[in-house]
Amino acid sequence: MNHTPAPHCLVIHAGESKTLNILARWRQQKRAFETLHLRHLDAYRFYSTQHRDGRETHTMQCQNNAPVCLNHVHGLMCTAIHDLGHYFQQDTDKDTQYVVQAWYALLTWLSKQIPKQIGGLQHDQSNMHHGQWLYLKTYCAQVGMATPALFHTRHLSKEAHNQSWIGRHTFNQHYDFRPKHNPQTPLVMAPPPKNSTLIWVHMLGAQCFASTANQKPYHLPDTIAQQCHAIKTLFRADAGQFLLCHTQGQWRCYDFNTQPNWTLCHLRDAELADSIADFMYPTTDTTTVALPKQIHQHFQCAPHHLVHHPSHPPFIPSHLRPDLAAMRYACPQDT
Amino acid sequence: MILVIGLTSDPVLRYMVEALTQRDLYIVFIDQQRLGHTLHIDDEGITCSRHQWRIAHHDVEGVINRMVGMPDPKSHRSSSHMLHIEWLSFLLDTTYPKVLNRPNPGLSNGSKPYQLTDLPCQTLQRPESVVVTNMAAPDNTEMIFKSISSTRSIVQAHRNTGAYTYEPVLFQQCCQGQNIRVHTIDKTLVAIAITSDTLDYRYNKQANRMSHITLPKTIADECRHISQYLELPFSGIDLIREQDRWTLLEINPAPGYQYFEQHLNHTPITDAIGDYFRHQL
Repeated sequence: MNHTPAPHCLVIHAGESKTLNILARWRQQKRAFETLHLRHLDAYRFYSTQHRDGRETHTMQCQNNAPVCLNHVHGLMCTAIHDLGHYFQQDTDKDTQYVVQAWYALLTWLSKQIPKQIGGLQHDQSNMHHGQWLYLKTYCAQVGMATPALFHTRHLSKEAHNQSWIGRHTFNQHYDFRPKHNPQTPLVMAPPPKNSTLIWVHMLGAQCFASTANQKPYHLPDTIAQQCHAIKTLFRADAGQFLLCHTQGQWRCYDFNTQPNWTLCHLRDAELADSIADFMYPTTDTTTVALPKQIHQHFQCAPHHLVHHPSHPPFIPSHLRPDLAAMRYACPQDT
Repeated sequence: MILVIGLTSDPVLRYMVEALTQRDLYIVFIDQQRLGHTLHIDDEGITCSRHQWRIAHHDVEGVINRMVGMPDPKSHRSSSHMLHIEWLSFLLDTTYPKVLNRPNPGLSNGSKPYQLTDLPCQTLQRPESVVVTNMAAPDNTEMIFKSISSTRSIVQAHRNTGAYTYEPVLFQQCCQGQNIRVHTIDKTLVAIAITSDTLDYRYNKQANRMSHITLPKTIADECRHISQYLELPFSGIDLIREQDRWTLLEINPAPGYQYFEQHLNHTPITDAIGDYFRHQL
C-alpha cells in the first residue's frame, strides 16, 4: 500500500509576502497544508478522476515532492486567482488563453468539494461576477446598509478627475487612492465624504476583525457587523473583506471582496495565521491516505525533471480548437 | 417585447430571430458589440442613439441571451463597453423575466467535470473521466480526449498513450453508443438521435442521420430535473445510449439547435421557444 500525504488545506497564491508569512507560521506549527503557486503552474502535475458513481480523486505533485492526495482538503485559501484572470485578459495569444482557461477549469472543479473557502473559485461567488458593484448595491439595499453614489469614469467631468476618489476596477477588486487616473480604464469611482473614517472589515466565518486605515483595531458596532455578515451570505461567501466608510453616524459600504487583502488587517502575522487556521482546518486529523495503485504507478512513471517551456504546444492543438469564424462545416454553435 | 442579445455573425441567432419573427413575436435585437457605443443602458432602459429608439426595462417580457466572449481590453473604447456588458449581465441575472439563459448559471459549463459534479443523477451515469496535467496521458487507449473548459474542441480518440500533456486535458471513457441530443425548453423536451460515421458528429463531412425519439420517462424526468438544477431553462443535453445504459456527457447552456432543425426540416424547438414566451405575454 502506498501512503501519501493528505493535506487539510490548499493555498493557491502568487507569492505575496503576507501569504508566505502565514505559511511560515503553519510550517512551524507542523500543519498539514499544500500550496500551488499560480506563476509556476508548469511545476505541478495533476491526476484527477471522476467515476461513474460521482466519486472523485485528486492527486497533485509539485516537482520532485511526493504526490499528495487532495481528497481530504477541508480549507481552500485562494489569494490571487485574478493573477490568472488578469494574464488571460491581457494576453491575446490563443494558446495562452486556452491553457489558462484549462487551468481555471481544473481548479474550479477541484475547489467545488472543499467546504471552507477564502476567495472561492465557484462561478456563483462575487469575485467572478461581472459588475460585482451592481450586486453590492443591491445586497446592501436588502440589508439596510447605505452605499455611496458610484460613478463610472465615463460619466465624470474633467474637474472630477482632479479630485480624490475611491476607485475600484469593475472586474477585480483593486483599490486605488489616487488623484488622477486614466479615464479609459474601467473604474467605478465614489467620492469619500469629508471627515469620514475608512474601516476595513475582515470576516472569517463568524469571526470579524475591523481595522482602521492605518491598521489599528477598531470596535465595530454589532448592528454593522450583522449587516456585513448578511451581505457576505448573500454573496454566498464564507469569508471576505469589506471597506466601510463612517461619517457623522452613518455607515456606507464601499466594497466587498471575497479575496481579502490581509495587509489591510490589524492582526499581526501570527494572530492572522492562527485565525485563518481556526476557520479552515478540520477538527479531525488524518494526514496520510493510501494512493490507488494505478495513480501511484502513473506518478512513478512520470519523469523526475519537468522540462516545460512556454514553446511547448498544448496537447490539444489549435486546429482541434476551432473558433466560430473558422468552422468549415455546418455544425452546432454550442458554447 | 423579447430582447435577443448576441453577435450579428452568430448563425444560431440569425436563425432564431427569423423564425421567432415569423411567429409574430415582437423581437428587438441587441448587438453586443454596440453596447457602450451606440447602445446605452441606464437605470430606466436601453437607448439606441443610432436608430433613435428607447426601451424601458419594465417593458422587456423575455430575453434570448447568446452573449459570447469578452470585450478586448486593449480597445480604446473598452471601458464603456465593459461597463455596459456588466450592466446588461446584471439585468439578465436579476431583473428581466424569462431569460434563456441567465449568464451566471451558464458559467457552469466553463469546466466540464465541475458541471457534472453533484448533478442529481439517478439513472443517467457520468463517464469515467481523468484529467492529467504536466504528465503523460493515461495508459488506456479506450478513451477519448477533449477540452476540459468551455473552449470548443473536436473530440478525438486517444491513441498516443506516451504523449505528454502540458495543460489540463480531459480524457473520458469512450462510449460506443448512439448520440442523443436532448433540448429542454422549460418543461418541454425535444430528443434527437444522431447516427454518424465519426466520433464527433458535429464535424462529420458526410451528412449525419437524425431522427426524433421519445425518451423513457425516467430519462426525460432526469433531463428536466438537471435543467432546473442548473437553472438553465433552455439547454442542450448530450447523452450516449448503450443499450440500457445512458451516459451524460455535458449540458450546453447555449445550444446550437438550428443545426438539428435544418437537418430534420422540422421546427419543434423553435415552436417550444415561441410558446415559452407567448404563454407569458
